[in-house]
Amino acid sequence: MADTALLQIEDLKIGFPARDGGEVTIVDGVSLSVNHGEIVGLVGESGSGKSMLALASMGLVPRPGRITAGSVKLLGEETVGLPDRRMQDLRGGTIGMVFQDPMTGLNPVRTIGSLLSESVRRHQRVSRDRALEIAEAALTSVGIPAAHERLSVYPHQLSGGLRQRAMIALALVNDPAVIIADEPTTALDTTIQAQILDLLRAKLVAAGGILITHDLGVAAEICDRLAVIYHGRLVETGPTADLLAAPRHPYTEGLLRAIPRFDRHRPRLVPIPGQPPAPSMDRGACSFRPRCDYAMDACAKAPALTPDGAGRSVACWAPIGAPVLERRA
Amino acid sequence: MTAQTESPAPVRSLLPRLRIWPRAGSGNGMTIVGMVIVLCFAIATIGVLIWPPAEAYTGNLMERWKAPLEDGSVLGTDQLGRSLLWRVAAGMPWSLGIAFTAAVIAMTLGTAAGLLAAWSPGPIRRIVQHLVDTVIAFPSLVLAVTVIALLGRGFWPLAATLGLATWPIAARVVYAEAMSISKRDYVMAARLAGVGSTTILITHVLPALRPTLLVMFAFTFADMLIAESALSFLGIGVPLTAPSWGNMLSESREYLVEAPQQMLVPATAIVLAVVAFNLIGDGVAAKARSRSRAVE
Repeated sequence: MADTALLQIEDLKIGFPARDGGEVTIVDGVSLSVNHGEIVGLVGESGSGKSMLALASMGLVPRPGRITAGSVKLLGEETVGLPDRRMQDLRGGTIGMVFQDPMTGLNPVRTIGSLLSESVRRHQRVSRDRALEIAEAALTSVGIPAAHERLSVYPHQLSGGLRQRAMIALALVNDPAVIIADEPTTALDTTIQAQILDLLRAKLVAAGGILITHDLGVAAEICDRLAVIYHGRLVETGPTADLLAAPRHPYTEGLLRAIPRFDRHRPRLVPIPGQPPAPSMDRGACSFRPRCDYAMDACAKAPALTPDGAGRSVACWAPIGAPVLERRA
Repeated sequence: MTAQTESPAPVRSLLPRLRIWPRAGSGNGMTIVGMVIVLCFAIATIGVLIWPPAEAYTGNLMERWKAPLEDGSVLGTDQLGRSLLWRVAAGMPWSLGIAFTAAVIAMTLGTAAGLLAAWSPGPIRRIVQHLVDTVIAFPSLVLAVTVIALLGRGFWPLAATLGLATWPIAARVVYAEAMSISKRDYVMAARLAGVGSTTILITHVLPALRPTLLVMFAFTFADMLIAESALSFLGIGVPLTAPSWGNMLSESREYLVEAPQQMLVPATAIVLAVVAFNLIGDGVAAKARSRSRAVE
């Protein structure tokens, strides 16, 4: 891809201290890059490490967790081990994050205008009045009507959709180069979801961004590339259309089979059997092995994420659709 | 939009104003009763500070132990013939003043320590916690006797002693509350926007603590008032000549049978003030609860 990606995560590992004194790896060797104008979808179940990956990109791995290995480069600048002060400059300035829950993500005792202008004045040397003008422009740009009046409004006076728009404005108010949206539509009604997705697509394409979701439908709608994460590891990446049309990893296939569809007849949804692995589960074998229909002897060793040379990668010993004769052994 | 120029509100006015007291009309009836009582006490206190009533200190032995409403005396007189009304008024700057100062000291120290503990890495947090535990474990009466012995009786030694003995309780409450606030999503959202942690503390955590602090201040004030009276009653409080309510109670002890009004007047004043502050505290607490429900 391009020489310098906006955001380049390489071989990132995040660990938390375990009760027995060891360390539990939550994110294990994930590499991911985001280029200008590109929307990368990060798809996975709850607990798969997707939100942790997002927080790591913001330099905010919650204590006592820590980045144990790897690097996160933002516009070519290494952010792992960066002093707090510098990271604060980047956070909200160069990289913005849209938060999951618009109901709790805005301080109930602060006006929208004061929340936005706080972030503006943190990153730009402007007067209070100018900061409020910038805040108003940001509210207008996310489609909030009567933005000027809304500056003096408290979060509880806004509807859920408007609150999520305000959250997006908060993440975008300083025109960050990279935007991370962590399940931005989960808490919203379906009709509002569509509006917010349209807005996010427009905003993310203008910069570059990661959309974190467990909803493949949402991912299909706005992402250029998808990365499927399972048990803290990427199991499959590739262009959205290809990946969804012909999933290669059994987990991706399982996710697709579990989505209700209305455009073609499907007798019943097929759930993925078993449970998502605990983060502490052993990583020697393929993590998906216990739930996989195609598991075989080779799966006792974890496969690496292997590129196929055509923009797709998969971490499976016997990818679906690959000419492997013994796959159903 | 339309071409008509709607004059926009001045932008600066959109910034939040620091609202210390809940908006008028926000309380229920009892809260207002409490506020009225406190307001009366406050006005009376300022009044006697400006015009010290001589009647509180000079009496006529011929007129001692008058019952309330007897011969023109309003609340009766004490064993030296001094007007109990004026004495209880002259005691306000002592009793209420000490309680107020002590509550301010306790709340300020407690809030600072609680926030420090909540916002610091492990070692500092543990130091603060141990300090709090130590001070709470220390018997405050012994502390009071020691301070009075070293510094002598007076307004400031007593206020400082009470404040220093009480701040750890405020610190514990503030610490617990700040910890729970610091885990709220909007604090995370502020972090994600690059806001520094000290700024978050002041602009996000402290405002969220406001109802807690108000309620705690009201109850602490009431506690301090009782503590001041108790220490003065024991003779280790304010100077013996000062007409503090505790001192008045202490003097009345010997004449309880002959002149019960001498005990009843200061005691009523104490009860009235304590009840008033508790009413306010309850009202603010109820209001804060209902508001946080409305927000969620």
